[in-house]
Parts: sequence; C-alpha cells; structure tokens
Amino acid sequence: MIQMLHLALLLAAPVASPDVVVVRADHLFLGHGEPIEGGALIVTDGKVTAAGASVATPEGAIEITHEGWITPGLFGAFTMDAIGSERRDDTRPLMPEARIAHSLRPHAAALTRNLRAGVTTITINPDTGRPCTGASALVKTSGPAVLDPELQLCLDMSFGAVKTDEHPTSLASLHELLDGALTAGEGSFGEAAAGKLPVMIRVRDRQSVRRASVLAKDHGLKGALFGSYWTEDLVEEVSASGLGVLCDPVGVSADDRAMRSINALVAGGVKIGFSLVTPANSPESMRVGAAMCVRAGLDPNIALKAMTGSAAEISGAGDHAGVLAVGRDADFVLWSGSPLELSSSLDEVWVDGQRVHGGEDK
Amino acid sequence: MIAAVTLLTLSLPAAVAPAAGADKLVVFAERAFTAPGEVVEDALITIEGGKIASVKGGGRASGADLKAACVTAGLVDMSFRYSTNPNTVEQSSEVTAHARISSSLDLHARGWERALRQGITTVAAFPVDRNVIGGMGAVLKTGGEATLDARLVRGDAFLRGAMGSLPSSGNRPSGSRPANFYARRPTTRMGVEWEWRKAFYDAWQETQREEDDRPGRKELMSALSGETPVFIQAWATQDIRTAVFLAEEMAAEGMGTMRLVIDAAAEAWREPALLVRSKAAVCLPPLPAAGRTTDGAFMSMDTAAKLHEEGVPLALSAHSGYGSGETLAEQATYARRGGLPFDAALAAVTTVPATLMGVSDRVGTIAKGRDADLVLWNGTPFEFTTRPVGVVLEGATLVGGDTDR
Repeated sequence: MIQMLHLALLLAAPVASPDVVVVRADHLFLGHGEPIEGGALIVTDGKVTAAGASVATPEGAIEITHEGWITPGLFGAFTMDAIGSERRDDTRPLMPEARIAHSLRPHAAALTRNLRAGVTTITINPDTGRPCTGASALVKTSGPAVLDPELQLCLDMSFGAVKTDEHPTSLASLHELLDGALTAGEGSFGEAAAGKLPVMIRVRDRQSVRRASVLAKDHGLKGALFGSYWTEDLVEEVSASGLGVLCDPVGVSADDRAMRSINALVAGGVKIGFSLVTPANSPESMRVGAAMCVRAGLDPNIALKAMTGSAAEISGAGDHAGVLAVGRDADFVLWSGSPLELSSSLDEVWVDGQRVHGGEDK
Repeated sequence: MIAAVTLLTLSLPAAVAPAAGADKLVVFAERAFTAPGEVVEDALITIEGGKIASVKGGGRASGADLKAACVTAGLVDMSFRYSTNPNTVEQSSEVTAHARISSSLDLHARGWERALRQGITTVAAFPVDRNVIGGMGAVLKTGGEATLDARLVRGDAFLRGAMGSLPSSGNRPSGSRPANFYARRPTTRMGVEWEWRKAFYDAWQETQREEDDRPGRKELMSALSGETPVFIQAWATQDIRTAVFLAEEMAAEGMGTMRLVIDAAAEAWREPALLVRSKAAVCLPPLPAAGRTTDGAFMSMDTAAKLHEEGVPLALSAHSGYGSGETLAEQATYARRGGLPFDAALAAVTTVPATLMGVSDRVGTIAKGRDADLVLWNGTPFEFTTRPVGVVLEGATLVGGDTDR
C-alpha cells in the first residue's frame, strides 16, 4: 500500500512539464549568503538558470508567485531509514570499501516521508559502532537516485566503536587501526588521506573529539566530525582540524550544552550542519532543532545554511546539493514563512524543476 | 595557631584545569613534612615557574599567598584506577605487552579530578587488569590541560599484568567453532601463570635467535632485564607466590632479574619473608570494609604495619575511591591506626610509589627543583580529624578539599 502511494505520487504530482518556470517569492534563500527579499528563480529543463533579486520573466515562461519563502531542498545528513535492517557489517573492524548504497531500498516509505518534509537530498550511512564502516551514499529522495555511491568514508573514533568481544577492545587499538590505515594509505583510506574522499568521524565524548581532531589534522583529512554535544571546550582543536561538524540532532528536550556547543563551534569559525539521524528522529525534527538553536542565540542565516548549503558542503556533497545556483538541479521548497518559524508550513517541494509534493494538485 | 588554610581565593573552579602558572606563589605552613623523617617548622615554600624554588624554616605567615597548618608533597598513587572501563585494555590477545595505556586514556574522565581534589597529584595509569599482560603503564599528573603533553610525567614506566582469577574470567575452552576470541587460554590460574611464563620465554628465545621483532618483545625483554619494573596485580597469597616464583624462575634460568612490584597485595602479610627474599615491593589495595577483598584475599588495618616491620617496601593506594573513608589520605590514616609509623605512612603515599615508578626526581618530596605539587592540611596529616584543605599542582592553586565530586 505504501509503495502504491509512492508510485501514485511520482506519477500524478508533477505539473505538466513546461520548458521554463519562474518562481517568485517574498524571501529567497539560496543556501548561502543572506535571504533575498523579493527574489526569483528561473528553472529551465530541471536546472536553475537564474536566481536573484532582479530576474525578468522570459517570454513564454510560466510564472508562479509565492507568498512566503523559497529555500533549497533541505539536506538530510546521516539517515538510515531507507536501508532496512542491514546497517553495518560487523565481520571486520575496517570495511573501507563497503558501500551502503547497495542497501538502499528504492521503494522505502521513508524516502517519501523525507521528501514531504522538504528533505530532497540525504546521505545514507552505515551505522556507527565500528572503526570504519564503509562509504556513505548521496541520494535524492525523489526517484530515488543515487548521486554518489562513495560520498564519505565513515569512521567512528568514539567508545562506541570499541567492543568487549571483538578487536579492537581498547581505545588505543582503535586509534592505531585508523591511524595505521591512513598512514598505509591504501584504497579508500588512501583517498581520504589524499583529501579526495571526505570523512565523517563519529565522536561522542571529549576524548574522541580531541583524538578525531588530531587525527584529521595529522592526515590532512577533509569532511566532518559527526557529533557536537561535547565540542564546547574543544572548539580550538576542532577548528584546527579543518573539519566541519555535523551536529547531533537537537530535540525539544535538549539540554543547554547541546546548544552551547553548537554556538561555540560557530563562534570559533567551524562550519556546521545539522544531522537528521533517522529513523531515531523524524525528518521534520531538523527544523525544530534549528529553531531551538536560533532561540539559544544561533544566527538564523547560519541555521538555514546548516540545513542546506553548509551541511551539504561538509558532507562532501557541496557540488550536488544544498544551494540554488545557475546550473544546479532545481531542488527547492516553498514555505509559507521562514522554515525556522515552526508555525510555517511546507507548501510545495520541487525536484529537478518538477513539483513533486504539494501545490494545488495535492 | 592556624587551624585551617587561609583561603585567599574561595571560588572553586568548575573544572580543575589550573591556569598555566601563577608565576610565583609562597606557601606558609606551621609544619612542612618535606620528606619522610624531615620536618621544617614555620616553613615558607617559594614556588616559581611550577617548581619549588626554596624551602626555608622559621618564616612568618604574613605575606604568604597560602597558609596552612601542615603541608606535604602531593600524594602519589601507583595503583590509581581512574576508570574501570575495559576499553583501556586490548583483549583480543591475552598478552599485549606492547600496548600503551597512553593511547587509551580519557583525560576528560571525572576520575582525575576526584583524585586531584583529595590531594593525589601523581598517579600510575595502566590497562584494566583483564589481560594477563596488559601493556605498558604510564605516570601522569591528575590535573592541568587535558592533553598527554601537559600531564605525562613518564611514559613506559612499567609493564603491567595480573595473576589470579581476573585475567581468565570470561574465557572458556575452545571446543566447537569459537564465536569470539574468548574461546582461549587462560581459563584458570595455572593458565594465567603459563601465559606469563610463555610470554617471557618466547621473548627471550626470539631475542637469542635474533628473530623478527614481534610486538611486545622489546617490552618484555626490558622487564626481564630489570630495566622496566613489572607491576603485577595479585591479591591472594597463592597469586603473590606465583608472581614471586615467576620472577625467581626467570632469574634462575639466567634470563634476568626482574624488579617486581606486587599490586593490590592484600595478603602479602601472610608470607612477608617471601617478599623480602625476592626484593619485591608491595602496593596495598584500599582497606575493605569487611576484611575480604578481590579473590577472597583478607587484609586488616595492621597489614601495612606488619609489612613495614618486615622491611617490605610499601605503597598504599585508594584505587578509584574518592568518597568519605575511601581516599588515599584515609588509607594512610587506617594504616597509621594499624600501627604504621607516620614517616612510613607518608613514604607509602609519596616517596615509595614515586621511586618505584621512577619519577622521584620530580615528585614525592618538597625540595628545590621538584615539581610544586603540594597538599595543604588543616592539621597533622593522616589523623581522623585532618583533611586536605588545598592542593597545589605545578604551582597552580586548587583551593578546596571537596572530594565528593
């Protein structure tokens, strides 16, 4: 039944495919910079061909005027709800060439759910809990389409990657394994050490934040730490690592430290993105967390970027998702107001220049 | 008479990360126990750059930054267990002599601050005793910036392992296809001893044959030769015997003379002559409430005094205790009540462990050039009415004797 619904959505929702569409809105956020008042997007054959404040409507184009906001489709970092139960291969501590993309269930209801929450691009990740769990994948929730089957090398430097009955059982061995593999520089580890393959390193406590930051600095890694809760006292180390931080989800019950740490990272010049972490959290929860951080002092523009452009960038997906720019896929969301206002509703979701959710046809 | 320390700065730092060097600090004490057997009356201790610059008697309290009834060197705990988390030990092999605790430390753990607040400024860190030979232990300060660079006093200070029932717990014989690496030796005490002996023999034979360096060979050879001391946890009599006999067998075979330190040696009092004969030192575990400790070993309040009388080098430990009645100072107090002389009690928590760990050139005594690690007391140390009221770590002041944090 769920699959049926999904198919129905894909078949029925898009409007008749026009060559050129102009979408005007009171507020246009492009995924970077500041929101543009009275901005417009021109979409041609699924791509953005113009975006900005003064955009003239080409002849013959369909013009849509939206009272509210346009943002890029939200970026859902770290999801596991479209990969079934086989989230991680536990047979070896290091599985650098494993690809979670092969676990993607293309008809998973979760993809539709993400899409309807405005999340147009996600990373699907092997679960954390072993030193190296493989490669994450970049996936468009509409379709779905795998844009990159080797997006990030997923590492875990926290106590969670240490087991009691499998090697490694000690933090020392965990560190040696990863440091050794990066030094040896073979396969995916070599790509990571050469800065070609971004990493995502799970951290859970201060010692792992420190260790991961030092490891990244020593080996010149690109990418992000995954975990912001314990970064408050270690912003200097994180900043020196050159990595961004994919923040732990901030729920309504989050304590002060959760938001203090995120604000401290931003104050220290660290690029942040919110992580989605499904199925533990709903796709809608990212907006809630962003709003809570803004309430605790986070710059609203940084919060918006952390759901779009910055999150994609530090996840290694900056060329594919998160921003609206000329030549990029026209994946965007129409909101009744700022997505940081929880009273704002999501009106329409567009992917590749097609309306895939919402609108008058819904 | 100054009954208690004069608290110049009453605010307690939330986290104990002493600011890098108050450049100069002067501490006054009515009595400074600078080393076992040495007392300086009306002492003025001047600290510069984190080190002790001078100790002078007959001084006046006025003008000193900190004042206390008594001062000792910062306490040293050679069996401190900041964490009981098994993620400090690599259990995929039962002998991991090459593993280094310094790579497994969580310097943000709360245990460090708990130690510092009770006056322990220098500790041994080592893997949890779940392996036969766990690896190389290190000596660290308990405070300061939470980095190894800032806190390490001596890396590879000793080889750490255990006898008794702990290294074999959880293992089982391999019969059918093993589900994990616990299907292995040792499953018994004799298996544990066998692993020790095999490790040393293998290392020694490989060295004779000039074979490839297997991990741990160098560390084991260093221990065999006596260059690096060997700390072996052994609570009960039979396990203490086993440790001593192991060292004696290695010596008899001409493989080397180990420097043996038996940790948690609760029942060392039963056969002290054995320890004297083997020149082994002993570190006692905290006094148990009901007499029995791990492995059923029994110790009482006079255990320390008995060992001291026999001439066994003696250190005391609180392990990870920090609550009321569990601190290192209180272990020394119990030992005093059991008959241990004051100077021997002071030595057991300062100079003896510092010497056994090879760091006595930096810590354990108050003397010019030593690290400025001090405990300020509200009266004579190791009395039930006395407690630490201030701690100085490398010249930085931590005021407040709260241990219940």
